[in-house]
Amino acid sequence: MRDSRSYFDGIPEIRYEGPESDNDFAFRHYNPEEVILGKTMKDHLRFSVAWWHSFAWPGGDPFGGQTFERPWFGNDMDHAKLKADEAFEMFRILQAPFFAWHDLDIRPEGKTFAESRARLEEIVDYIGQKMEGSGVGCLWGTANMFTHRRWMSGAATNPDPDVFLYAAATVKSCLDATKKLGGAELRPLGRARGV
Amino acid sequence: MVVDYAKKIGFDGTILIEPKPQEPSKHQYDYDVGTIYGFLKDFGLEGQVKLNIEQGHAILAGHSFEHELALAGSLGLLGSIDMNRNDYQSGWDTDQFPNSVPETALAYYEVLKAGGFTTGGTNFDSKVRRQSLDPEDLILAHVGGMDVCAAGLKAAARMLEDGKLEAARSERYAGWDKAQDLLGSDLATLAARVESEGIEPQPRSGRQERLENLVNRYL
Repeated sequence: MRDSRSYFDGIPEIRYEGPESDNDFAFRHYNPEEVILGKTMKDHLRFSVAWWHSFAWPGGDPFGGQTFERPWFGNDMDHAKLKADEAFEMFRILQAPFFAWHDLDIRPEGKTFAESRARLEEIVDYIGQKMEGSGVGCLWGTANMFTHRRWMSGAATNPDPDVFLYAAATVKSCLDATKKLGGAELRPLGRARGV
Repeated sequence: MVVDYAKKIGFDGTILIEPKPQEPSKHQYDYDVGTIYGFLKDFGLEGQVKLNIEQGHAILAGHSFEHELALAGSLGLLGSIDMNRNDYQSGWDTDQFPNSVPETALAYYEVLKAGGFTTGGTNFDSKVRRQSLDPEDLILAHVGGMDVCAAGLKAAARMLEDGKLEAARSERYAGWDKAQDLLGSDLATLAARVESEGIEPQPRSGRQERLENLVNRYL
């Protein structure tokens, strides 16, 4: 059973208190509704939280392994949905208006392309429901075409045309998902891995 | 193919490419803003694709963030930014949260000059350090980053409203306001003018430190 408490339980919603505030959990300069040069700071800055660094990264470096023990770490759809729940809790606390994602950040890879695509569609529907009424939007979405071993020699520039095909199908699935979430799309060029 | 498919499904967002050098291949066609501009021109994609420019990748390519933003702005390619910072000692792309107001001020100065964001925004492509284990660390990293960006935006707006920096630039290049005909001329005509008019250029100060002092007044 899922713990009903949030990972961020006890952390207050961050509000603007001005430069003199002594509160760690307050904004000193970011005042979302303050108008500067005819636009609110919220509309100027359009802040976005990155799903990969904040929710997917395990804390490793080239020598050390995983350091983070997030409750949403796990390779199934239940954990992917818990990750989305906690992400939206963080967006609420921060008053963050946008988020950005790679396909691999928001859903676990399936055994086949079709399974991966179906999982992406399922989590996009789930995230779409969470967006409704939250005031949070998708800034952009993109395809992770570098983590899995199939991408070790690149994506669009891979010597194997099967990888180019797989990349094309991956980018299509991400563009479809981004359209559904209403964001812009980042397309990383398929770059050859290895120096 | 991506641009064509986006049109086909009625996608009204922006297709973005992100300059990213040395990660990990050494020779790339998306090395920096200039390289991607050449790539887009070669394939007739300028006007259909914009750029997502990252602070850390600019540094890794040997540029400053504001240089990359200014170049993208002048080419009409500025789409969105990935905000973070590198480790300046190792030089590596460590994707830390931004913590320098002078740096974010110059970045947002270029964003404002380019007309600001439309579909893009400030994405925190930033991660906490691997020892920052607590839920509070994730929240406070973003709080600090948002404040550093907000302070930078305010400084940039003051710099732009005051207009002294742009006035200094205009004054420095004022001679060109009456010399545009030179660009449509030819080498032989220009060479003849140098001798017939006795042209002897008189160097003028670039006023680097004076301008740096001016920028610091807004921070």
